[in-house]
Amino acid sequence: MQISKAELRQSWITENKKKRQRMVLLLIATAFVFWVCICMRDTAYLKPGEHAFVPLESMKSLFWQIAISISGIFKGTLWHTRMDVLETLNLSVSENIKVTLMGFVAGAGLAVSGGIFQTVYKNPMASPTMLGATTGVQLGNVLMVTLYSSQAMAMIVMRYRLCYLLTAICVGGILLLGKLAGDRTGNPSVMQMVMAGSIINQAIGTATMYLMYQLKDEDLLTYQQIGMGTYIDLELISMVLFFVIMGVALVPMLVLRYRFNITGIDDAEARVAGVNPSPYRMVGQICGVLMVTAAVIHCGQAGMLTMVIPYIVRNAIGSDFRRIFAYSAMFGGMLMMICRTVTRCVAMHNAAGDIIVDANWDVLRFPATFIVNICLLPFFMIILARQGRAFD
Amino acid sequence: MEAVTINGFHLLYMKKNKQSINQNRIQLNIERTEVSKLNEKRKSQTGRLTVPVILLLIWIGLYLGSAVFGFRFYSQQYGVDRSSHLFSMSSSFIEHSYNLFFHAGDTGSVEYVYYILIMVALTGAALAACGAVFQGTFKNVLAGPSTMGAMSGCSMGCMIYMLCFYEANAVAVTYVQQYQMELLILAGGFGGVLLILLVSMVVGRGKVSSSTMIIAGTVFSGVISNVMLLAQYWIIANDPSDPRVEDLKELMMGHFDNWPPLSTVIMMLIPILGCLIILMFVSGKLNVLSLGEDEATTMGLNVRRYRMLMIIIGTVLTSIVVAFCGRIGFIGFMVPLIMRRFVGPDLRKLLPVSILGGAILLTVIYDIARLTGFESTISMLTGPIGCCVMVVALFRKGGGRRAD
Amino acid sequence: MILELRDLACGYEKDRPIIKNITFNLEEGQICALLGPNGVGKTTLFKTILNLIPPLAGKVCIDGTDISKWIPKKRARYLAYVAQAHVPSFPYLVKDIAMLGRIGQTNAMGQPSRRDFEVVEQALEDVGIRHLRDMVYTEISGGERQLLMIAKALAQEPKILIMDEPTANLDYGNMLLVMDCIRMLAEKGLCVIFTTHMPDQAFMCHAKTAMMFRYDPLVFGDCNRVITKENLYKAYKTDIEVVEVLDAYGNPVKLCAPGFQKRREESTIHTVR
Repeated sequence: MQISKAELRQSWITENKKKRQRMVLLLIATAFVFWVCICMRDTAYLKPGEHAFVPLESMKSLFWQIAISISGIFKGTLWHTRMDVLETLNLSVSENIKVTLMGFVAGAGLAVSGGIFQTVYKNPMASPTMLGATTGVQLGNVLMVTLYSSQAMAMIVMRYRLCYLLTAICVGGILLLGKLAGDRTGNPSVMQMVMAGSIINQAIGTATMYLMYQLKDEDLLTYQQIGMGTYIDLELISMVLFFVIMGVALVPMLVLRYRFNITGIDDAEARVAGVNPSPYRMVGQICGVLMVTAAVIHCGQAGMLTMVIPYIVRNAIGSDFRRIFAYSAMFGGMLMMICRTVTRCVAMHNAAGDIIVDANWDVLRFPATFIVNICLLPFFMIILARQGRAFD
Repeated sequence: MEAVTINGFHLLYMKKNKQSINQNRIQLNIERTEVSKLNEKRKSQTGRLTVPVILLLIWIGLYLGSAVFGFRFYSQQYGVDRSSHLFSMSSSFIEHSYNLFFHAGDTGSVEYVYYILIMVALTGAALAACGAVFQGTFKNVLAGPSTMGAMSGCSMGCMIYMLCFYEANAVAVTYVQQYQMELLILAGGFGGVLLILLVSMVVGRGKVSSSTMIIAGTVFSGVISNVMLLAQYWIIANDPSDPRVEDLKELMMGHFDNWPPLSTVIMMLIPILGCLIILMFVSGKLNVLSLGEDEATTMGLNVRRYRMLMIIIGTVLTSIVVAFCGRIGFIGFMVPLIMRRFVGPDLRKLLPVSILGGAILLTVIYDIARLTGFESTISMLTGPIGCCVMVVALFRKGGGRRAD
Repeated sequence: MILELRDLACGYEKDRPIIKNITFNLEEGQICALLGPNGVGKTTLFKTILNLIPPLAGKVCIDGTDISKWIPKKRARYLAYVAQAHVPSFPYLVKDIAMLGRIGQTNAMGQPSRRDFEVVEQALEDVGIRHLRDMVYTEISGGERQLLMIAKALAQEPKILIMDEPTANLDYGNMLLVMDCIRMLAEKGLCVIFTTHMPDQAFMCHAKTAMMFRYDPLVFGDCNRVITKENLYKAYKTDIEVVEVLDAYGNPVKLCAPGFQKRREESTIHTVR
């Protein structure tokens, strides 16, 4: 019954070939979506007769931007004589690239963190949203606007600090409550976790709502903008913070993506196999919460992506965490890129059809992320219903 | 005649027909212990009424105390002439009654304190009863009136009203127009529960299980709260100083700051009292329901009928409360939790006790709210208290799976 | 390779040993069936052998060295464990589950190498489920799932395989499948220890038997000598005969035959005439 060397070699090659083909396809799709998103123009500033999707002009503008910034280093003649070209094009592709890239990383982070929590808790209903990661950010936003009023959007570092602190308290509180409500071994069932999570979320949500209703007029609008992700933040410090935190959270998961499978099997078996799964669980959960919080701070409430995308990937492609990591990062990134592009390009119209403008004469944007968030939830229920899985 | 006696019920039957027993000279092989057990059981049943009676007396005392104290306090606060007491005959009796019945009072008429305290008590009673019944039926400590999606459905109804039917400063001509918002909220509540039931049936392939309903309820309330935020964004974006925002706040946070006319109080009183009385009669059967659906069916209970009754009554209670007073969280699951530690999980004892306990608790909270200025956002007070109670309860129990 | 338990005492708390004075040796290619009533400490003994809980007294030694001093990776090359009940969580593929057995040997940052792949394929082939390698493991039968767990343990390339009630929830046919697999593994040179509630299984594998009693010391030896009517009565408090019959192929096989005594009349029903 010894398998021949040739047979082994053959199966090894076919395995890898399949994997590589799928991955390449996915990368091409993601790159295509990225390119389409960069080439979209803001519809609020369109003149009649112009389109929103302008690939040629965007590529031209990009080329000139790169050329001018390179020649700007050398302070050559290009710098002075070609600035007019940029102005006539009236497009800032570098901004588009920034927004789209941040959207991609945020979406990837959200989906991967959902996959992490599903693996650790062995249940599709467990997600960072249910465990309070997004409620902390809401409370942080409200407190920021209450304390600093219209300056809240500018005080980025403070906002990050506050949001992370509150998220840590929320998640810690829910986990503690779940442990208290659980059986003697300290492990609560998923139902208990869901209920504990909903109680804490309700409690903190009430406090958030109360503070929100204490805000007046313009502050309320500011809070809504931050909370829905319609305020697109392109400050250098905010981008740096975002990418650093995402890097710190995503890189360990990328590196440990094979070892992470060990959290899904029985503790005793894992330890005998030579690996202790507890540190991996903890690292995974911390990274997951970091990722979700950073993504929500930037893109508004997007908790449902964490549940739906890993679930679909798991059922379509398989439960190996390497697969889940790669595919849900790609799909989540794509979805989020599209949402952020819609938010960037589409403006909010009031009942009469005019574009709404806030106090600073900035156009009010369409909360695409939020709406996708709402739509995904019943979608998730339908998926679960089709699978016939009972919620146990 | 041959009869097999296995339990005390047949024994009682035999005892009632003493004549036939003597006539046929039946030899019963009863041990002494069984008879004494029966006697003990009959004795303990008389103790059933003491706790509710005590609570009723407490509530009456609280009601009168709050009314008198409130009367003094509010008249000081609002600078009102104290002589306008309920029984003063300064204006003609008919005119006075008409005003009392149909018009909401302004701050000048302090007799409305009595009405609002009745409303507070009814709210507390309704929520606590609903919570007690749901906790028993779902066998989960953390269930409450919001579990079935009634509260979220009400929010949905209110949102539809805000977006479609709202007219600022409209003059209410007909009865329906005056209570437009409340009726829509009621309809929304029923709609929400119906939706949850449908979803649970689809997910569970025709069978509705309680865990499915809980998850569906949680999901639904998440969706609705997000949709409410979106609607609010829309409203605020259009006009940041829209008065609808105030109404939304009152709905989401629970409010007792209006001075209701008698008609409103009666509109709340009749349905809620009716539902509570029905619940008291049915509480024994609902006990059996909490053992589990299969067990209940094998015991001969018509599970579907009682379940439907429970759901309808729960929805009515919750929706009426939300329609008139907004969403008040935590009372519904906090009060039965506390009361269960004292009287046990038997619904026949738990229900009256939690009804009165809810009334008392909410009256106390209302008094505190009036003093501290939170009367338009009651949830802010029930929230911290509810969280503390819940944490303490879970911590002490150490194993919270049973609704016990 | 010799596994020695020297005067072992096992328990969860420092001063309260659940079992004491456990001493026996096992060599390569031997099968050991661990019998005993519920709650006597069989799982505790396993956990101590695997060093999941530290021994309260005595030592577990392989080839003379105390294994509690080893690093987990080295222990994983000698000992493998198949747990009792496996609750399928997510729809993993069969080959991915089997690959998890190699996780102790791969680098923390690493991916499974080609050698890991080959070892796993061989393990699946040894156990006999290689044809199922691309299926979802929640969709295969209970017996095949148990074989998959054994394959996962084999992927570690261990010398000693420890199984906690491997046939607990399996039907008769699947149970025989697993027993056959155990016999085949022992022929290959593996030392297999398993708990069971059926003394027949010890006879099936011609295994050495360790029988644990609630108030008596452990008895270890060949199955024919340990599984006797007296020992069975001490363990299970029932009169069980050990009979020898011929199986379908004419080989002598020993079986246990329990006896049921007639119960006294204890009716609580009163008849009324």
